Amino acid sequence: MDATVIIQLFVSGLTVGLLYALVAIGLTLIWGVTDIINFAHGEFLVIAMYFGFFTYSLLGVSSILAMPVAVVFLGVLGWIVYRYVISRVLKSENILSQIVVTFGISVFLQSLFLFLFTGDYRSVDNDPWIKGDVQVGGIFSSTPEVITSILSLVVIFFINLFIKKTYTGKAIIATSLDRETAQLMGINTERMNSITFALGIACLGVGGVVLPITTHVSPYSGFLFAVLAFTIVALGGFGSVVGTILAGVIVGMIQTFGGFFVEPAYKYLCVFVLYLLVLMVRPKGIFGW
Amino acid sequence: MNVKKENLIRSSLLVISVFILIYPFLFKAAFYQHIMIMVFMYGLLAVSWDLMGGYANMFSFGHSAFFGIGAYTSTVMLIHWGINPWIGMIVGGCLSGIVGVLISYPTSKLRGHYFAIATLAFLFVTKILLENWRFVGAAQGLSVPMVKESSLLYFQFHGSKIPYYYIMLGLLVLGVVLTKWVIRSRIGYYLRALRESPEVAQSLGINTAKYRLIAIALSAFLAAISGTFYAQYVLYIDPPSAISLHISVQVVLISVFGGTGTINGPLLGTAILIPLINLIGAWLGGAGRGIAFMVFGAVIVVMCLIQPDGLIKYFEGWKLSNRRENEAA
Amino acid sequence: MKSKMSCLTMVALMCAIGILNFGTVSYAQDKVIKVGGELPLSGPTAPTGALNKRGMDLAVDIINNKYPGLTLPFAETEGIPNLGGAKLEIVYVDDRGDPNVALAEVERLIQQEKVVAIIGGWQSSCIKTGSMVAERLKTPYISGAGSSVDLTKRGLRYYFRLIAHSGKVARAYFDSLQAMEKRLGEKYKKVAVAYENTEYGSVCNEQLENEAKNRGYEIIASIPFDSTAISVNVEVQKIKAAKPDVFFQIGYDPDAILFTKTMKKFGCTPPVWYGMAGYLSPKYIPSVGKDGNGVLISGWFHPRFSKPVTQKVGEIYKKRYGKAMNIPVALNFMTPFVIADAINRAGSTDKEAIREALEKTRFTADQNIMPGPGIWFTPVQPPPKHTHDNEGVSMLVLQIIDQKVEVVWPFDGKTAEIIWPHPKWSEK
Repeated sequence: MDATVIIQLFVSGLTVGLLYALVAIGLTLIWGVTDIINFAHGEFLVIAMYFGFFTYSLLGVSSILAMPVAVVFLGVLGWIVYRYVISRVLKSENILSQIVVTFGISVFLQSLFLFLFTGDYRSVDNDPWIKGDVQVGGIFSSTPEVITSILSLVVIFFINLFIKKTYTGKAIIATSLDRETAQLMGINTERMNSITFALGIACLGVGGVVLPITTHVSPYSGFLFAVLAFTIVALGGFGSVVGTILAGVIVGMIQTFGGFFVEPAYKYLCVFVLYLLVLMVRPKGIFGW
Repeated sequence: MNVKKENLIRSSLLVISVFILIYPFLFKAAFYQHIMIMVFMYGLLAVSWDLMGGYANMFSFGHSAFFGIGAYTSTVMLIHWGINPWIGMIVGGCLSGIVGVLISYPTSKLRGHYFAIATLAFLFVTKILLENWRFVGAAQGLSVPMVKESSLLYFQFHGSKIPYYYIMLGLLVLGVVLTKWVIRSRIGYYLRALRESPEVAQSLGINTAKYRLIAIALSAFLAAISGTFYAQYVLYIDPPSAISLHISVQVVLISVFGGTGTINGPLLGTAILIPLINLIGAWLGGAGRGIAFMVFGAVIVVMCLIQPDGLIKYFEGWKLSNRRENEAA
Repeated sequence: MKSKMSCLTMVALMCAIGILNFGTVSYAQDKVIKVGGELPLSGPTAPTGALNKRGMDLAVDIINNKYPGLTLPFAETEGIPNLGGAKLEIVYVDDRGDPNVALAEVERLIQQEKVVAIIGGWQSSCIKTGSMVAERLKTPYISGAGSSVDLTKRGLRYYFRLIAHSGKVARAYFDSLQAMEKRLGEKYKKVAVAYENTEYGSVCNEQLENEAKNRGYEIIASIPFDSTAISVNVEVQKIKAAKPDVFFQIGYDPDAILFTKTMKKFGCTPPVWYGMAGYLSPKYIPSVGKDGNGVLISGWFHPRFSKPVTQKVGEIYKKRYGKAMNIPVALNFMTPFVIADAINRAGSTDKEAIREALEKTRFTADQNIMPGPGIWFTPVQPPPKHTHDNEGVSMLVLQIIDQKVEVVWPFDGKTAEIIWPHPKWSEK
């Protein structure tokens, strides 16, 4: 077997893994702090994707310019959703409600997209800034993929910084580790929750706007990303930023190597099977709290 | 509860029952009959889900996998070995039950959210496997061989939906009777104990695992029955339609809307939401489908906020004197 | 005096009767015959679905109005003659590219809209279920598209198909391949197929495998994929590693674009690249630009093909829509004519009578814009023989040259010289 092929698979797996990690990072924060699995995560990502697409198709400029708008919009949306929906459901202490309510949001959003944008598949085919293929010594990638990988590392780096170095960040960690003690220490845990939720959703605005360049956006695009994100967060352990990156890359690698050596049709199967195995052995994930 | 109110409830139930029985003759349009058939089919699915989710506390988001196993088993047996779909239905149910039990072993340690995600993963694994398995038609799916004329023996009717209506109604009634019998038996008693406080139950020496397994097996069995019905109703199945996240999610949402752990709740939820979705979708035409599910999603969210125990909670006090509802001793 | 009065009265009476008769005749002429049209009007193949609709609408326009000088049936008249000039109307439904939606929508068309027949269909998976329901409800279904071989191997009495099935397409591909081998003195051996994994793609794959094996080629890779997949990185890497001589990419709109972009990204250039359906999408060339040059496509139609009726209709279309007519427009274009002809010969809207009339359909070459001697159907036969498959159709092979679609095979019917082998990415 050609060494180039292996290296190429490695690079492909890395780029797709970092992309997944970028999608999953928001989820792991939300999960770690509020204990809610946001099943609508994929749909929020799709909002960002539509932002990116329409910026390109209606304004004719690069979809990456939609990023600040998308981030702010999603941050606000996340805050609203937390305050008026999630926090109430958390108070009711009914676990099933907590799971179901985000599914309800997901169904609602998906249908909203269907209604507003129809079921057609759209892609950004000729972005003015982010285009072209990249070749380094026989290893191929594309500019959009490289950019999302860099964005992923940047975002995760800053999130990590935020969590470790700022007061709010540390308060968030404290809340996720032990809610009661954090409250006793004077931390407004409700506020921590809403900040985390808003932040987690806002993260999607970073990568989401660029995605329509490498793939297409439709009302249904969200759910595969979401399921992979759940898998990554559960693998890497909820709340662990480092865990998310590593798990993301692992998933990317399994998908790529598994798809190549087993059968491309089974590329996701390998991921899910591995996930089920890990779940049985170490339910809290590799780095979980 | 006073006698007057009881009599009112009894007569309302009677009226509703008669209405359901003569419905296909009142509403001759195929579309309206279809809605009720879907109500019955989803009703059975929801009831089966409640057994697993509401009583055994295992919130499965992959219930459609059992549905699919039922649909595929009976169809494959018919196509490859010429076995009658009624028999195939029972076999499918049993197979589904076995699969349910097998899945529960590795996942029994998982709780709440984790279990839900594991069931999602299981759903996708099943779907991908079926999509690539030639024997069951892979991604192309399977067409149930059409018999030229409608036939009860071969479980196929063309031209009129009325036979399908009564068959599904019958299956639903059987399923509900069976489920309620289990709930009221010792098994149900233990399950409720388990649900209310697992630690106490275990300390009393109740074999929690065994009763969970029974609930799962029955739940999977009934879901598979719905699946076979679907295959014979539509005469075509493929992985996206039979092993669908969409169906799974709808079943859970409907049950939660109605109120889990009650059997009546999911039935109520189905009776309200399924017609709602279909009617809005039809009324508004092309864009209607989007709006119908927007309404569905919004209704679910609202219900979770104002009444997490589901719609049935509002009917909690309505007991009839010779019926005993769920009461842990 | 009296006789004059009575004369006048008689004339007046006759005029009145004449006017009343005219009135009744025109009242009958306002009669409309509804047929159902099933197309993907939203979803991943929506752009192609919209083109199909244009073709069908144009056909209905030709049938219902006067188009003198056009040799298509009913062009010279308005409406369907034997039914008093009744006009044809298509009631469209959107199958969204989903076979289960197709099933429900066709059922609704028949039971609620009470159409006398269903025409149209684009994706084989949707046609499969739509025609199944039509069969159950004893309603004729004529599809202009739907290349999956299996569609006509079901022995269905009510389903009729116009397009050349994928077995014929595979034969045309390999005929053209071997013709080029002969011309250049080359010999290709290794074949790779990437196919979308529903009815259409997997049946195409089977047909290609059969032809390849019968003619001594080796299938070195056979890769199913999801047409709406997020990425095809892994699939393309596998193809690249296999180093095929001949590459077939069988899919729909989204994946044709995705594969082209991904093949370019990995610098993968097979010497021969055949594509199908998705490459005909109106989005394809605008999306990939010159990267699409060199792809060979199955040619069920070309507007500059040498039949006069083809060119005439092509001109009408171009004048109306500003663009050249292409395959998605043409495939279902003939379906309204076929059903109108059957209704006309049956002289009624009774579905059984229409079905019998359909079986006796006979269009000549001039009455059909598609390549080939005409339209006539095989009889009802048990599988594996074909039932109601169109025998009058023949195939071309097209190629995208300079971002335009040209006919390159058979060589004597070509509109441009074939480009061979497939150009490198930098040279496109």
